[in-house]
Amino acid sequence: MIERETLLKEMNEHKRTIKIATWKTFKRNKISFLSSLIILGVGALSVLGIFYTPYDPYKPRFSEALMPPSLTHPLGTDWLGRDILSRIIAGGKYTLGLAFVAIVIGATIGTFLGLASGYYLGLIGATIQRITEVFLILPTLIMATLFAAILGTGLLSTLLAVAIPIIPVYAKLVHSATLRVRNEDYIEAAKLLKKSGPYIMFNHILPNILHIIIVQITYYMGTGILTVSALGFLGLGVPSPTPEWGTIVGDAKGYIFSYPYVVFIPGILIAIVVVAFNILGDGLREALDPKLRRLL
Amino acid sequence: MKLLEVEDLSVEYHLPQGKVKAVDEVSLTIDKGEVVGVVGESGSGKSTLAHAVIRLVRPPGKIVGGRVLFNGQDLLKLNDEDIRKIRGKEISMIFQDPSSYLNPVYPVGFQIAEVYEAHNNTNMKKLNGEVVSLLKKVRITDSEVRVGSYPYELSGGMKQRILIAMAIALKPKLLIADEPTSALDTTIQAEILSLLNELKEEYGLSILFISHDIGVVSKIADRMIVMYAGKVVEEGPVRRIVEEPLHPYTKALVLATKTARKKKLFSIPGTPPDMFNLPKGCTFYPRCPYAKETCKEWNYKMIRDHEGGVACAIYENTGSS
Repeated sequence: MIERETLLKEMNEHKRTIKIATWKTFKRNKISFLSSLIILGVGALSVLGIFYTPYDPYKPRFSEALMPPSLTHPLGTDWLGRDILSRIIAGGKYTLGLAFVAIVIGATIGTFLGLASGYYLGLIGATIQRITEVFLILPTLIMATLFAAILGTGLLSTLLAVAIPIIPVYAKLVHSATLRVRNEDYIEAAKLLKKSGPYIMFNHILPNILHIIIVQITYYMGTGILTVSALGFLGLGVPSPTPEWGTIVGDAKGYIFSYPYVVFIPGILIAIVVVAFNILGDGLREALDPKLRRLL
Repeated sequence: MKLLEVEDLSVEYHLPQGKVKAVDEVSLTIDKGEVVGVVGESGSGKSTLAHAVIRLVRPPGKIVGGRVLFNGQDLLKLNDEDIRKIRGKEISMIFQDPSSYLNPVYPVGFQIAEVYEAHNNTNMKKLNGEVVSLLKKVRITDSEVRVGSYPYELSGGMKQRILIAMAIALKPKLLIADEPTSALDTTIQAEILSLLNELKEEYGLSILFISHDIGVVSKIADRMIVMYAGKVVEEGPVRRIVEEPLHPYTKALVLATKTARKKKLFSIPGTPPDMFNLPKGCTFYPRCPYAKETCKEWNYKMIRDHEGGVACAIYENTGSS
């Protein structure tokens, strides 16, 4: 007979091995590791931007307008003399924050709908799925533009315009994941005990498909950022002078030939962050999926 | 009084292709503390029979006739609320594939405790001791640790032990075991069988044991029922059936088991019957080496004596004399 302590130790050891393997797989993928560093860095700067920026991101200083990158202004200044670095740092909370909150809201609502349609099927399920499919006809960005045009500019309407197109995506994803789980015998057993539909959905089905939802959130962060800044660029999102990244690019687009850095620096930043989130999503999926994980 | 009396139980499946009589007027009895084995090949209706006893036949299946008397009470007449009180508490069931009956995201100890909660409304937090001693009873080593294990951390044999622990948690009188060892390898199979034997002795448990393997059934059962195409073809004490099978189908099954370790394996000629389109007369007739012309016209009839019976035309004249 094995001693209890030995066994406990071995089980913990095993869990640790899995954690290490997950970490190693993730780290071995150099690009996704780099992506996570970029996201962490940008995220940290954006949090910092809530409390502190080197210069006031709103106050014009005409004497310092359109200065190229230098030691005092590492990324230069715009046509009103505002420090671009300060504006980017201050804008992170709008672009990243809006994208994140919108995706969490969209994912939550979509998950409820998907669970309900996958569990009840029948009339409820068919209704939810047909409506979902109608909304899936349009690409996320186009639909967001449509809703932004209807709802007008501002923080709340941008939030909704980004969140709404995410709902059908999650409704479909969770619906198909629910279908895989709903006929398992332990669900049948819960039904025989006359547990309610919502109880089964949240206590038995949701925990079994949660990992799918979480990985998908990482993927959609990139899409969310892109949508928020595209709306800002088009003037349909967060209005200037708020330093939302897309809005910065949109406001500066008249200077693209004379002072290209005013446009390109925030533009390239958006591109880098979006690509980083997509790569991170792949890396996470590979690291978390036991089938793709390479145990050493 | 018998613990369980099944009388002329019939179950039909209504499918788009037609109607299938999966269980056709099957009768059986189980005494207190007795183990009855049901043997038959795939599609013979043995599993449907097991589910029908506790009313777990899923649509499109439907119980169309007969009675299931448990302690004299007809289970087929109970309402949903009353049958739920009997399931798990008086009659419980274990299944072929233990992993699909455990939810992968909850520790097994929690899932065992749910059995108490469902029937007694006991507070779950107080149940840890009960669950640990239950795990000891089904011989899971280091039960204090295993209480917190998730299903994926356990082997198939251990998962089956967990299901057995759930099944015996409320000390039921009858355990229905639907091929509990078919998904396990041979050594684990033997362990599970000896565990069931032990529990039978300790609790005075009666068991309805379903299997396609006549060898497994002979290790645990007192009496055996052989099913073919939804009907009982032979019934009797295990020793008698294994040593001296009467029905040609049983003879073939026993012969197949006995030659299993030899170089040339005996197999029953032909294929199991098409359930949508059963042959007239004796359903085993097309595969039977003793078949006569009259078998085509034969009407199903069980010839009984005090300890069992057989349903075959070749015994009808000699058997009754």
